[in-house]
Amino acid sequence: MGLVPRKLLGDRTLIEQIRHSDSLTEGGFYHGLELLVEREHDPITYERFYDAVHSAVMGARETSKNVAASPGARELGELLFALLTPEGHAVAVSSGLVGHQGAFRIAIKYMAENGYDRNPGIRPGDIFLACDPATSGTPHPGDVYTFIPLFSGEELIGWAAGMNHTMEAGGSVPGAWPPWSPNTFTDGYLVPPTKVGENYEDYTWLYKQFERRTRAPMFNILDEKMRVAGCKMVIDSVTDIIDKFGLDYFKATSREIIEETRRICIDNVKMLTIPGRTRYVSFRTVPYKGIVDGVWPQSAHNWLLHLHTEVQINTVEGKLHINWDKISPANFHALGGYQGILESNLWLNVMDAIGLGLKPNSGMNLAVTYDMPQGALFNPPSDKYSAGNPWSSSVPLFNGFSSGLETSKRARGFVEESWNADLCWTGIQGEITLKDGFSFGFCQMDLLGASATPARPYMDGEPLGTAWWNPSSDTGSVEEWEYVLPGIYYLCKNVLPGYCGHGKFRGGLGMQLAFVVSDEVKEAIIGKVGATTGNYFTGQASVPGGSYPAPTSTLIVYRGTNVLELMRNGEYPGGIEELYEWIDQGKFTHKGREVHKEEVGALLVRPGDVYIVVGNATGGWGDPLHRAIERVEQDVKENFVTVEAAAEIYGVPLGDDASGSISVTEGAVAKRAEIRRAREAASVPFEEFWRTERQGVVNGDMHEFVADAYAELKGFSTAFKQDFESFWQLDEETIGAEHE
Amino acid sequence: MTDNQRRNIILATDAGGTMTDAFAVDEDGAFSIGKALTNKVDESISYVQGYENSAANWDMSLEELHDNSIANIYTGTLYLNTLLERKGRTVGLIVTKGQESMYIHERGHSWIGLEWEDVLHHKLHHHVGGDMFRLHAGLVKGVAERIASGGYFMLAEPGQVKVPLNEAETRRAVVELLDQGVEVIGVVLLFSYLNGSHENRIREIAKEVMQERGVDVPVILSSEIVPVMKEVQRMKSVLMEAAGGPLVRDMLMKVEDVANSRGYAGELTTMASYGSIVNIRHPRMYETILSGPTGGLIGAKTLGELLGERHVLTADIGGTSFDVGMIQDHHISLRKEPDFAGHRLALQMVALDSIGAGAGSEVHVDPKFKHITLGPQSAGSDVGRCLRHPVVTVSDCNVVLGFLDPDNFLGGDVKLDRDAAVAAVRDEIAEPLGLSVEEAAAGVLTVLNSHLNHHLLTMLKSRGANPSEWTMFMFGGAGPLHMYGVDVPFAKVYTFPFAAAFSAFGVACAEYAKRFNQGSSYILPPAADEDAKSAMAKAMSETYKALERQGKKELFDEGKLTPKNIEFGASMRYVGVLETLDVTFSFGSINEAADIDRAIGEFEEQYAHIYGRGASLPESGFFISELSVEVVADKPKPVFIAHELVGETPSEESVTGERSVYFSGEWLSTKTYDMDALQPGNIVRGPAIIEHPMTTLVVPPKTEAAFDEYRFIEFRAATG
Repeated sequence: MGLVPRKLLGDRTLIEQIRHSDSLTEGGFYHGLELLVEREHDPITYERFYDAVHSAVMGARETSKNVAASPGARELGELLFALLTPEGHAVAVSSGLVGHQGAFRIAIKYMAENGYDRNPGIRPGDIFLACDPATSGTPHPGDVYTFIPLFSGEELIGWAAGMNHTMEAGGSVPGAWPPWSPNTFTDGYLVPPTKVGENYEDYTWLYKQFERRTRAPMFNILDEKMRVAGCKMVIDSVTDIIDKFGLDYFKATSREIIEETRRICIDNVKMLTIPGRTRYVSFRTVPYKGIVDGVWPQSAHNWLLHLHTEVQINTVEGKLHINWDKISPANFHALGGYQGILESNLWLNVMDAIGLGLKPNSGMNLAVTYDMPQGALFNPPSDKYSAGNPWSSSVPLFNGFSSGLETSKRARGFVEESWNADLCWTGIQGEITLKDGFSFGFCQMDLLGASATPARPYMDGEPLGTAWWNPSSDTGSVEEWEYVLPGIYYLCKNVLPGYCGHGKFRGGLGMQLAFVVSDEVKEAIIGKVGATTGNYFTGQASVPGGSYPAPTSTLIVYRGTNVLELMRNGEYPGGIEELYEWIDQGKFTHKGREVHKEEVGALLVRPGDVYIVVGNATGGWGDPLHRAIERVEQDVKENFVTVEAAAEIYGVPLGDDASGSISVTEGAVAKRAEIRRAREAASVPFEEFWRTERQGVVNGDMHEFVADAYAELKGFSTAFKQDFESFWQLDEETIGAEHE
Repeated sequence: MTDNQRRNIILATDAGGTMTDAFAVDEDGAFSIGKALTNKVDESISYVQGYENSAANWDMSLEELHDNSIANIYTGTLYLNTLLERKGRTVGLIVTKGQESMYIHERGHSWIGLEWEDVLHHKLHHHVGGDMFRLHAGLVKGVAERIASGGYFMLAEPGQVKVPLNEAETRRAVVELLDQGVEVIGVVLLFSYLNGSHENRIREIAKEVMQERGVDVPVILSSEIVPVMKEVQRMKSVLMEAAGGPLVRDMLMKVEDVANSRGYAGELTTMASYGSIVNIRHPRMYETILSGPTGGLIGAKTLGELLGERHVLTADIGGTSFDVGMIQDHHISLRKEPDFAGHRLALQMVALDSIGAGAGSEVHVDPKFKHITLGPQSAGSDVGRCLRHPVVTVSDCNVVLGFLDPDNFLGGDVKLDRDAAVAAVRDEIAEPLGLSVEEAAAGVLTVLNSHLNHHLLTMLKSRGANPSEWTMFMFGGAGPLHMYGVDVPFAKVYTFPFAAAFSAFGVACAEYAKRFNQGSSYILPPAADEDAKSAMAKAMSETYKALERQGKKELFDEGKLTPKNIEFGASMRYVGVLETLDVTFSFGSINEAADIDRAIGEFEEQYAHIYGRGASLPESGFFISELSVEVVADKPKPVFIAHELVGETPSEESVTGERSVYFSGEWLSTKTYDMDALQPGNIVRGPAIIEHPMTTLVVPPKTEAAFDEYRFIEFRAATG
């Protein structure tokens, strides 16, 4: 006899409940809540109720993270707890990786669609784990979700959800963001929503799976214990809350809180923005050719991703819609993704741009609509496409969304609420092998814990100023990281002078991290990923006011150096500048140097090798020639900007570049005039520029990356093709004729 | 007792940015508070003024007061203000080469001090950086050196020198810093808490350079004053000490001089943030920077011991915030990384969670979405619309409902305008919410009480604690006013007639103690044999003995004090887990292998209690990251005398009147009482209001306030 579907929600199964709720929401109000009855009837109790559920998830996070093993969770706070409705919408979220709450409902829906309420059953104390982007909403394999159902008697009334960014995902290369992954089979240890325990205790097999299928099992096991402990705390707290407020009140008010948030977002759109459309684009290279050819021939290609975003703002109805009809299609690389990455990014951007005065929850996702075409980068044709590293491409994509809102808010007069929407991150990952052969994988999150904030129309950005995905930003401690990743020593963790987008207000300085592989280990594998790792392209979607974009991130490896010997003698270079000087002086020697602007999956490094990662700089605002001279002087004094950059970029000669006979101001006036003359001399009228470029387009005279991208896009997106041909005033006939 | 017979008086001063409170308590527990405007140029002047007032309350002269005082504790905001006003000494910093930007990037802590709503708004994140210390790149020098930790896999001996100190770079750094006129040099090297030899050598070199130049500048080492893990927090503590410590000490010496000249025979003491008294000659003055909020917890610990309450949760409700703290098994919970003015420090501090809403908080209502927001802005001494604040406040709601008597606020010194409060609540809260004035005012108080309750519950859950095993102490000026709102099933709930001065009382109760936390790196594999444990125990024992010696020496140096109690503990975790649990050992110090087993046993028991058995991971081994020692000396404390209980019924003299008060949806005729006239054994049944010049206790229907033999007030469900 087969198992009978359980009616977990009164007269409905879970999937029936989700469909029911979705159909109610189609009317425009979440769950059909045209009136917020409880709030209208008694706003005091309503606020008390929210305070209670919010305290429950916040308390769970603060307590359970102490159980966590991975530095990401404990030291950097990269975790999240939430209370969900039975359908998976978040009612209240803790601090931490707040964006993920937008994705939780995907896993719940998957379980519902696949009859989990019948088999394996959903019962009090059951633990469900999910880390498969295609089925569970997790953006990439390193993000792991845990769910525990909340029951009242026999009735499923919600879920406790916990997630964190784990140390290692068991992919084709060590780490949590597998680059070079052509499809889902190489992304890592992916678990579709799965029952992994009962009575609040994990099954032993789960830990054995972690041990066999990931390179950091101890961290992963402890992180799972943390998520379970936190979810249990949420369940216990909310059960007490229901005892106090009543079950009916809990069910009704939970949904009202979500609808209220949606309405506040809409109000904020009306209040903060102007109507219209914005279109921004950022680009991203995906160079696989020559790397994977012999193993994954389908991926032996170089892509240029066209990350185009059109934001449509309707201030009469407060509607915000994103049109992604000109985005690149999905392909056999790791930079695509599924719905979860979109929902997570969406939430993060809505929160900062228009999420004022509200209760952070899924109502923010419901306030924005979007079209991601079937077959596009984040809506692939099948569930076999890789989602190994979508944060690298989606953050630049959403910089376009954010740029649209920032532009609109600035136009409305909210200048202080505007900045150059340039959010970025850099991930270092790999595997360390000790001399006895024991090895362990890792994510090194110094440049994930925080990145520079971008410039604004009125102020500079700041180094390690925030983490878009984790508002409680924290890069961790050098001492903690060396404990967890022994044998790899920091040579430096400093800001890198001049490494920012320059402007009237400059972007925040990026960081330089240099490491030496000591002779305490046998060898290590390192990789680098991130949102500013696109060879030649910043993740920035605009260059406001004639500013400079930020430089992209870079990995430099020096092979076979003499640095261990130098160290024994009390010397080592304290940063890139000194290292270059020492190379010139012959003091620092090496047997080879590699520079990687692109993403790196796995480089083998051995004792004596030095690797340097620079990253997380952000873009500027306005023309650097407009920067106040005293600010440039201060930057030089603080070693934020080099004397050379002060003279050549800002037009303020100082130090040896200054003339002794005139003041700094006089020198700057003269130098800036000289730079302006040079700019003018190098310029051509736009029409001439357009004609020249057009000829290049007609002739096909362009880089292979670009030519391929245009070809791919024109074949995929009718909208792009029309725009492209319209802008360059082309048609097939013209192209043919001019070719001839 | 006549006033001139007062003996064994303890003086406790709280010198705030505006007012100095001069608190005196005698051996019978009677107290007197004098107030004076804080003299920011010379705090000894406001000290004298404050105690002149305090002495006058007892008909004593300042000299008589001092002559009969046996302890003198001075706390305040001088340290904070010195740094906030950027008046600290010019600091030069020497760090491990490659870490010079620590003060700029602050490891990403750009949101410290923001409310949660603002943390979510990235554009509000800003680094505080080195501004408070006037630090800039030229004043931070890196020198090549490295100490190894060995990491979890013990690849190197913890504290092993990986890169010897580059003495040429060190000498150059010192010269360059002295050239810029630094007044103090701080040294923060990676892993120096495991091996301080490089930091020591830097000081030797610096002194050599100074001798050559004929100057003498103090050199402060992180390995000496804050030998614990996490370099950025360690640097912040060094900067605090270097910039402000000696300046604060100099001012305190002035106060001590004037106290001695007026008849006080002892040395002046101050409070450490971990809740103990230290002499003002204490070598780590930064440990006193956050001592302000500690008094309440110390007082609660003292009274908990007196009442035999092992587990006490405290709520100090003031005008702008409420602070919640814990005392578990008679121990005040400590925290390792408190935040201060946007900085995260390495510092042992009493664990207090502060919520930015209190009795004077402004109330804002979003008319469309009907949100009520309390604080963080507060009316302070302007009270609310009922006095002179432009925005409606929680106090206005208390006036509207009759909880506060507008004619008897602060003992009648300040007259409040009830009509103005009613109008403000009506216009700014009730009408936007569609409620009556009374419903709106009651609603605001419900929201405040709700914040408090959720906070109390969260704190208990974070410790795996069952409320029924805990006792609640409410104090602060508004503690008694809001204690009826406590909705957590505690075993008992208490407040005190001196609730408004509870912090100052607590300071007077503090013990004289020295606390040391020494960073370490002991890793015990799961199957460690007896030899390994013995070796580890031997090494730990040596550290414990060294810390114990240092504590005893400091106590002796600061008044020939002898220890009465020494406690030993450790910060422990499972290998792999990053968060440590602080365990105070029940068995004393670690000296032999069996002590290691005892320590692990106590750690595992507490860990499982908080996080559940499922979270334990003994198979990965144990990591001990800090050893702690607290050396406690005897110090006079206030004494409470148990009085004979009189009858339950309050005397007629204690009844001061009757007025209408709004309880649970209706106006009730309510008797008012004079708190000072109520006797041990009296029980006041609700509805009632018990008034005191500095606070008001609300007793709703079906509840009662019972005065015990110490005149402590237990608030509970009505028994009769």
